[in-house]
Amino acid sequence: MGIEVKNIQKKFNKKKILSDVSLELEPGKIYGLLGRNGAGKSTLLSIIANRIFSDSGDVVLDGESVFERDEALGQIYLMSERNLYPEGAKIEKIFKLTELFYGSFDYEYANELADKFGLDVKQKFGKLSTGYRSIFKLIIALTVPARYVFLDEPILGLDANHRELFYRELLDNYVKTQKTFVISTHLIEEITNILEHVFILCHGEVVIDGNVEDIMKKAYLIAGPQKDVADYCRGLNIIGKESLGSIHGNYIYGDLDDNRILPDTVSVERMDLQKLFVNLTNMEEAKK
Amino acid sequence: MMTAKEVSVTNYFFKNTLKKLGYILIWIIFSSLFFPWVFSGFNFSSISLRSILTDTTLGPVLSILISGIALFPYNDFKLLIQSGISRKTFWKARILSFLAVSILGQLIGIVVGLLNPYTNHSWYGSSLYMQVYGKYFGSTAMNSFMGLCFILLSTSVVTVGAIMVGSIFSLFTKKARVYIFIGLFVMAVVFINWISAAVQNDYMLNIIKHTDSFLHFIVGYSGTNARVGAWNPTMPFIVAVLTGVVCLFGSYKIMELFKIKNE
Repeated sequence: MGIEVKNIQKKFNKKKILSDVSLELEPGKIYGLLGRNGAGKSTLLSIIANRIFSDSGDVVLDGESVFERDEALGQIYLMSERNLYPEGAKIEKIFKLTELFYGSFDYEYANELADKFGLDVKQKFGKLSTGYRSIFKLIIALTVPARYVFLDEPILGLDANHRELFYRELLDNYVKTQKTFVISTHLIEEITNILEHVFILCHGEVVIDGNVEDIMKKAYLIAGPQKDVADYCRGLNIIGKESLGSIHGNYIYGDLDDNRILPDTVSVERMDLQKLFVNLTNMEEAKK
Repeated sequence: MMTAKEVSVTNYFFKNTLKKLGYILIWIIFSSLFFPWVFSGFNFSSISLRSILTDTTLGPVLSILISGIALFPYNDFKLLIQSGISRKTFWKARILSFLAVSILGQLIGIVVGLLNPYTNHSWYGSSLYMQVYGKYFGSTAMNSFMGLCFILLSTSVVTVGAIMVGSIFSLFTKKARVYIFIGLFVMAVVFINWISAAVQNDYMLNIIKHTDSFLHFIVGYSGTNARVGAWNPTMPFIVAVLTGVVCLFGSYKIMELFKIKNE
């Protein structure tokens, strides 16, 4: 059950964007899809939602391909930076169209969210600012009866208050509906606490695919004098280094060896998801 | 059998096309009153209702307008792919709704013609078919029935053709479309120029003769003895059906390639 992305490959003008990407999305989880600009996140989401075609591979929902199947596509909603709604249509009209095409729509909840965010539903979509366009699309994303909701840069143009409100509403919606959310964003620190599972894409490949808790258990910062840190980290998977005066830090991703003796001069701290992401993607960049 | 989604999308296209059509018709009515009024020195009494109604050929006008609307599918595609609708459903709904609007338009055109006292309650004047083939069968009822069938068939073919042409252009970005239009225009100018020079050449004259014969064949012209009005309509029917099938298949195959463009 769930969505399976199987060996997706995609090239644009001979440039490889996605190379053999495979991942699984289980029902009722919040996923993070992270990657630097140009990593292929939006391309992958567009392929899952059938907006563009992959060169090879398949996207399967509950065992059947989603390609050109209304039933499967009706279970997927992609909110993206692209504005695909008619510019001249009023927000309330687009709510009606969403009901028409998805089969149902929670008007009460949509209007409640519009009130909370201060969105005028009589306004035309084309007249909205970037922030309010995001808010409008988020309202649809939270209200639409799709089981899998993909949010590509959902907080684009949103101020801090609206971002807070969105995270609260997202969690509230998740608890009530048990939908699957996939969030792709660059503001990693803000979403770390709500993610259960994370995928990190780098150069069109999935370099991390795992439960956030498990991943963070393997992410460390070893700090201290350079020589002591170097001795302690020998044989470990060093994904980044940092120095501040005489203090040196090594970022490690992987299990620490319990038999290793930790010198008094060296400290071991947990790394946050953003640091892990930055170091991992920098390392992958360096490899290329 | 149509699924609930197919019905919803077809209804949406049908209503949306009628809305656009109504909007355009209001502008046409306004323009056909406004310009005579302005050019007659802002004098309402000089506007002749009789002349306007005599010249009204609603069927062909509606056919052109509907085909024009059918030329622009991309915005609808964007909305529908955002709303979880497949390309196949998009194509099916678009074909069905536009055919329904086209057929409805022609039937309205005929009814308006029959009700119009200034056209002697006849729709023949606005029907090229009736003028060319309307006396082929001995029975007037049969000729009228075949005329009605041909109008509905040919309008449907024109509409489906417009859907196919619109689909082809929707595959390209706005920038590419501009280059294609410029390219086609230049090619047309060069072609006209070339053909006017080439007609003096025997080989070209031969090709033109063959083209002329072919055109006569597909319109059902059977020779100089054939009386205009009594040409054989079999070939036009066959050509219309074949063109319709090709356009239907072509538009489906092209819409299968639709995707969200980076523009």
